[in-house]
Parts: sequence; C-alpha cells; structure tokens
Amino acid sequence: MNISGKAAIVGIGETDYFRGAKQSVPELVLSASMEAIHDAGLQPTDIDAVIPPPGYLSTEEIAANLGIPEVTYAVEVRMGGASPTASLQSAVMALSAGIATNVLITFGWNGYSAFRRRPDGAPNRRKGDPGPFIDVSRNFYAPYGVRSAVQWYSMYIQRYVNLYDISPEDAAQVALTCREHAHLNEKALMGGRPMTMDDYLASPFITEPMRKLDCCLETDCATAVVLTTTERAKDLPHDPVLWLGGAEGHPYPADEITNRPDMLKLGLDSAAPRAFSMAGVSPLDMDFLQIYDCFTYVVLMELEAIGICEKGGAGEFVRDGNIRLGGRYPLNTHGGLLSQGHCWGFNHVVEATRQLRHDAGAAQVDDCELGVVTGYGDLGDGSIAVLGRA
Amino acid sequence: MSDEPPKQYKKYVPQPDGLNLELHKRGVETGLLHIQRCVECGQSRQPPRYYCQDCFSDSYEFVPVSGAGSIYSFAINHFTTDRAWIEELPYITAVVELAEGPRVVGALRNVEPGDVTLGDAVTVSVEPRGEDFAFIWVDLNP
Repeated sequence: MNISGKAAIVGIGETDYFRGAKQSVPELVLSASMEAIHDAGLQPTDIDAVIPPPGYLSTEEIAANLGIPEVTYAVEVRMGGASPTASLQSAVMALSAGIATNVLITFGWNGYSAFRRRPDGAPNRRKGDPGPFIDVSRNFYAPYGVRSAVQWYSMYIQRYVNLYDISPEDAAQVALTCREHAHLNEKALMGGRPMTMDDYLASPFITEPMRKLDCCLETDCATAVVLTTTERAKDLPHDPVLWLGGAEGHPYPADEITNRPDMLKLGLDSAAPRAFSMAGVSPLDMDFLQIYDCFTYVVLMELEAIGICEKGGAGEFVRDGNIRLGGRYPLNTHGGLLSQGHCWGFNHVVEATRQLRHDAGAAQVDDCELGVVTGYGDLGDGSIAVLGRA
Repeated sequence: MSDEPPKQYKKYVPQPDGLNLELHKRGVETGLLHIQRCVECGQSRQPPRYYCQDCFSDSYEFVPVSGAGSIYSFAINHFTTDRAWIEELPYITAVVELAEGPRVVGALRNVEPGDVTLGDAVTVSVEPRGEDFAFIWVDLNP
C-alpha cells in the first residue's frame, strides 16, 4: 500500500515558550491541542485517535479532558525527540488504513520547570519517559558521570569532528542562523537577543566540543497538530499540507552508542532514503529544512544523513548563508530548539506547516512547495517527514 | 547556618540485574575486566546480550580480557549535573576499543584535556565498587 500523500496536516496549535511557565504540563498540552483542533475547523468529538507525549500525559487523559468520547486508535511513540515526526507516520498509517478519521498528535513538557522551578511557578511534577535505553545508560554511562544528552552525544560527536575536521565556526553557523531566524518569530524565546560569532566562541564548553551556545533551550511549552485524510482535508479551512513520505530509523543497537559498527551512523541515515523514495523527490528539491537541533553538531550530522551533502560536507554546506532565509536552503525558520524553544521538534512540524500554508509571516520562504522535517532523539533515533503543498 | 555536617555525595553505583549483574560479578570477583563471548562462534560482545548477534546462539561465557585497547572516542566534561563528579571537572570519559573487539566506556584518569587523541593506546582495568559493580578505569600507556 502506498501511503504517500494520503493524509495531510490540517490543524496546528502552539503555546508560548516559557522558561518557567505558570501553567501545568496538562494545561499546556490541552490548550495547544484545542487550538489545533479548532484551527482544523473541527471539534474534539471529531477526533478519534490521539498520540500523546510519552510519560507526561496519556491518550486517555487527553481524551477525557478535551471531550473526545470515542478513541479508535491510541499509540505512544518512544523515540525521545524523534517521536513527534515519527508520530506523523503512525497517524498517516492509521488514516490511510481507515482506522482513524482525524488524528491529534501533541507534545509538551516542563523541560525548564522540571529542573529549575521558579518561586512563582506552579508545581510542575510531571516527569517524562526515562527512555528505552535506561538499562544501558544507568549501568554503563551514569557511573562515569555521563548522565545527560550533551554527554551521551559527545561520545560520537568528538569522533565526528576529529574524523571530518568540523570546526567550531561551522557549528556556529547553525546557532547563528537559528538566532537570526528567531528574531522574526514573536514566539521565540531568544528573539531580540542578538548572537555574534564572538559570543559563540566565548561561550563556555559544556562537554567538548559542545559549548553552551551549541545547546538548545530548556523550555516549558506544548504543540499539537491534527491530521486527516487528504480527501477530507479539502473541506477544511486551511490549505492542506500533504505528508508525502516519511520514515523512522533506529541505529543498531539503538540502546547503546559505543558498540555500533559505525558509531557515526544515525537512525536518520537509514530513514531518510526511505522517506525521499516514498515521496518521489530528492533532498536537493527541498525549499526549506526544519532540522532537529538539540545541538548544533547534531544538525550537521543530520544534514549529511538526509543526503543533502556528502559525509563530512555539512561544514561547507552551512557556510556563506546557504541555510539562512534568502539562501538556497533556509534552516529552522522559526528559530529551532536552539533559539525558539524546545518542544521536542514538534515546533518544527508546526513551522513547516505554516511555511507550506504560506502563512509564515516575516520568515516566509517565498513560493515554497516542498520541505523536510527531521526528528532526532534518545541515543540517535531518527525520523523524517517530507511535506508539500497540495 | 545549620550545624549539620556537609552532605556526602558519593558517585553513583548501579544495581545491575540479569546479564549485567553476571558481567560485573565476574569483574568484582577476579579484579579483571571481563567481556561476554559466544560459546558457539566465539564472537565477543558488550554490553552483554541474551543472544549472539552473529549466530543467534544463547550460549555465552564471560572471559577476562587483556585490558589493551585504544581510544575510539571520548567526551571532555566541563559541566555536570552529577554533584558527585563536580570536583573532578573537567573529567574525560573514554570510549575504548579493546584488542578483543568490543568497546567499553570508562573514566580516563591522570590526563589533561588536549592530551588525548583518537587512537591513543590505553590500558583498561576495573575496581570493585560494592559487590555488584566493577568500575572501569582507563589509563594512557606511557
């Protein structure tokens, strides 16, 4: 069964981005969800499938709070930051198989407040999924003081920068570009706060080679999208944004980084060719790139993984304004996780949808028809969606 | 100000179970780094798994390894959320490719950041921490 183009994103919702939200995680998730449902011209009673943020809220909790009386499909995707974009695939499968008619996907969390509660903030006690790799990380990494994403990923990024001579200035292009784009987005946490190359290079190391400004922002926020069949989408208020192809990929073994035959091969390396093949287009055809940017160096590896440049070629690819608005491949036109805020990369899907509706305001990529979104999470899981205007 | 003594933070010691416990028990009992090996095809693997990824046999053994290896990758930690490690900053976590093939993660000691590069020859050893966990040390060869 060919599911390319069989379903479309028809509704989007997005809270503000907070470093210390007054709302609880459920409030954030439910408000983004209701916004997406209404944006699609639907009511909660029209939704019959929900994919929730694993560990934070369940499908049943969301359905009960929003007023979704009949759920025909409930599934959780447990790939960390790769979950949201992978969820699109699951939604399209359910829609094209006739198992669901309107799917709500939502992600949200207290990514800031769970770690640093503000005195005026609401108690925010929800905690996320510890991850499918918890057994390995607690037995083989944590005893050595390696407990966080920046540390896990440095174990392969250090090898990556050494083998391919990737410079801090190359990684900086990703950070600086996201920051420039954030200035165009009124919901971006770092809008109006300029960053220069000197600022970047003066930024302290967290785990070499990654500096503080290579790292994304701890954020409280939520986003949501609604998908339906392409057929039904024609009757809804917005230009539908077609899911033309997508895939997920898991490095092997996915639960342990260091014993992979090729430690630099991400899940996205195997997922991307499948997605572009399904969509019948080339990465070079993309009008914009919304690349999961938990860390700048991960973006460089992902650009190579999707095949838009050679292995080791990402440093050159991001130079000379190529990834800025006005360049050939504008990247993270909303500011990304680095400068808008961290909503598990579902904010990338929301932004891609705005772009393809031609509703992206000052960040609009003129006449865009095709774009790609990637997800990255846990210990290198990957996901991808190729989206296009109907 | 409180009269309580400052809180002692100890480095995290995991409580492994299953195969991971078997592996660590061998390290604790012998003081030697062990690796799981397939009895059928002789392939070594880390971390331990229930079936051989090459021949799918469920017969395995834990065997001591020489400790010889080389730096495959590393992380130089300048910041940590783990309070037990703060005094060690900056500390280096090494990914070592053992002469026998598998790679292990351990703490590289007595080395300044900048003095380690990919491919450096190292020796890996273990130090028991309690009854169920053998901590892995990595030393650059002189």
